[in-house]
Amino acid sequence: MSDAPILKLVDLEVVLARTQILENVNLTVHAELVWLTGRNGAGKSTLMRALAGLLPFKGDVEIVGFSPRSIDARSKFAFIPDEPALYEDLTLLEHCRFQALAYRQPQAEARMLEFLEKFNLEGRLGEFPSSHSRGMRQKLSLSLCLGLELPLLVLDEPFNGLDAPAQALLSSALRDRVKAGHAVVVSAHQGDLAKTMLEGNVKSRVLLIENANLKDTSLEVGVRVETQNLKELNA
Amino acid sequence: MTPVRSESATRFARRLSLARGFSSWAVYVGKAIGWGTVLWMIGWVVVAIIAGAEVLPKFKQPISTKWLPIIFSSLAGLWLLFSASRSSTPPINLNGRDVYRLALTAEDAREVLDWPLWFARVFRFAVAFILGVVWTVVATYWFDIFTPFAAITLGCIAALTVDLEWLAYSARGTENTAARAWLNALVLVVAVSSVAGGVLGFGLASGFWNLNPLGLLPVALLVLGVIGSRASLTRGYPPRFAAQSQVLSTLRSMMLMSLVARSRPDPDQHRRLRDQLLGRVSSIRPTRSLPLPAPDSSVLLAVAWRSALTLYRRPVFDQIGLVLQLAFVVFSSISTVSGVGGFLLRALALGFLLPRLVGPAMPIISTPIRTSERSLGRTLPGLAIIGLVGVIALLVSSLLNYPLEPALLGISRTMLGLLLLEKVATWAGFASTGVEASTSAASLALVPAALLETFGVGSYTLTAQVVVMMILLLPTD
Repeated sequence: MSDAPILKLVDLEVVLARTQILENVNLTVHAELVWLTGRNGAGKSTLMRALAGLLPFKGDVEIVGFSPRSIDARSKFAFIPDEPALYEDLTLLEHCRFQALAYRQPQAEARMLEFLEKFNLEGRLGEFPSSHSRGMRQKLSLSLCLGLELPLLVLDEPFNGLDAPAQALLSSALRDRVKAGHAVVVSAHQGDLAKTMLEGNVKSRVLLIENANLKDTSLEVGVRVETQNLKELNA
Repeated sequence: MTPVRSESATRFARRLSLARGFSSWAVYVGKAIGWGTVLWMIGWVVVAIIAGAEVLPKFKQPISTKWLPIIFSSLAGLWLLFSASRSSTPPINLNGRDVYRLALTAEDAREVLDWPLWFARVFRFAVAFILGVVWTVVATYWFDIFTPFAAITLGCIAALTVDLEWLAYSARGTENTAARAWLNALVLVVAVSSVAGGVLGFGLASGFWNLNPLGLLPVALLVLGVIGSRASLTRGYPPRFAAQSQVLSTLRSMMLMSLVARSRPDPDQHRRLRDQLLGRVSSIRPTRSLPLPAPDSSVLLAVAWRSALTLYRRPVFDQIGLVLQLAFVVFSSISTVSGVGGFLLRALALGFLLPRLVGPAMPIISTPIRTSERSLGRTLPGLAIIGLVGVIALLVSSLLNYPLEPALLGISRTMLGLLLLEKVATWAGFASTGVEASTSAASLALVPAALLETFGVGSYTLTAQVVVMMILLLPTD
């Protein structure tokens, strides 16, 4: 496997409405699970939106060596915002076909449908997502993302709204993704889930965003999780 | 600590939100238009009304008032009875916040809905009152009758429609006997007074031709309507009100936002919300679908398929309207209206048509879809429809022995306009349904013809339009 990082942030700075949200953020992500945490309003979503190219920023962001706004980078990562962004005029089945074609991955459709089945949505494939609950929409959003073979997944609070079996399924899918050599950046507040995921024998880190800066609170990787840090997560 | 009674809590919340809303609105109007300008415009509207009244043509003999009772009584009666039959949606709604903060709490429904009901009544009253004043002026000049109560009569009839709609909505499929009884009573009085007005010359709408203050019957009806609406709320809200309020609230915000942004609301989103409001199956699953594109299709085909799907799923009446509008635009090239008037007319017709032909918006910032793929994919189905209608136009032209060139000019101009609309919307960041994007695209599409005709080489217009289209089709990324 190449040593080149999948995601690289150098001196990232985000200022919104004259407020410094992020300052001098440096991060290099290889094939690993990066768990972003921090208090509400700390800047987790802002960091994710910036690295997805959805917010203006200063500094450098590289996704597999490309600028996040370039077409090359966009075909290498998927971003799931905290509110599922779906096409309300397409049914679940149509979403899968369209997403697979948009990413030029014809085989992805079968995997997306498989995830929808695991999420118990196989009977709702012909329906519009606008008629579905928050959790069902989140499941569709995740299936579309997890079905794609991409080096980087960026998920903003993906566990919100999911029932317990779906949370377990997502944790397992993300661990499998890392084991397959991909990178996953997740933001979430659920400390118990963090414990489950970080204990899954995958390379992982917990990063805390505090006072506009990113702190590596790791928690040695793939071996054990320190209780103190989990307390912080749960706080 | 002094306990706060629930009534005062509702009023307190309402007063606060109204004060803040009014303040924001006042600031917005002040910045966007300027209050001085607003006053200046109102002044000129008054002057225009007075001037308009003075230039009304006067007849040697006043027009006969013989048919006025029948006409006005019938119209007023039908309007009110139609309102009394509208039971699928409420005439008012609570916004999303009030549904949770007020409607789902122990607050008295009458207190909560007092403000929205009065707002709706006053709004309709005000609009109708102005129309009533206009009638008073017209009646004086043309019919030689003085009708000082026409404005109040019309205002009260308009305000009464709110209560009739509310009672009809509340009475539908529920055990709300109060709403049913009040609705039946009001419908009976409306029907009887309407017939009496038409036959006896004294009844529901006699304020339109009668000076007698007893003609102010609609005032009494409105009072009864207000009492009836309050009585219907004694046992709480109609069962569907909270859910429908949420959808209506979204729909109205959408209309307001599009008004502020000077664009048409997204017709497809609007339709989906309407379906949801009325509980139609089409809000859950589509009633029509196109076959999925093959799994190995190109991105361009995927985007074009999605655009075609959106056009295909529109209601049949919309689709027929689109084809008729398109035929009108294509054939308007044959019209003899020329010069600036002709230019504006064609631009206007084209500007109204183009947004209906473009596919749905598709953010590409986080998906690997190229700008050129999105751009062409959004317009391909529209171009195909124009081509199809164009072929029919050419056939009709040849059957009627018309020259083919005007139809060809119309077809290529419409295609050019559609491509320009997508480009303008993408480059300038406008919504493709926006007034700016559609009028700019329509005007730009007419530029080749206008320029070449000005320089006396109008015969090259078709070639020029096709060349510009080809340039626009070139990939830019």
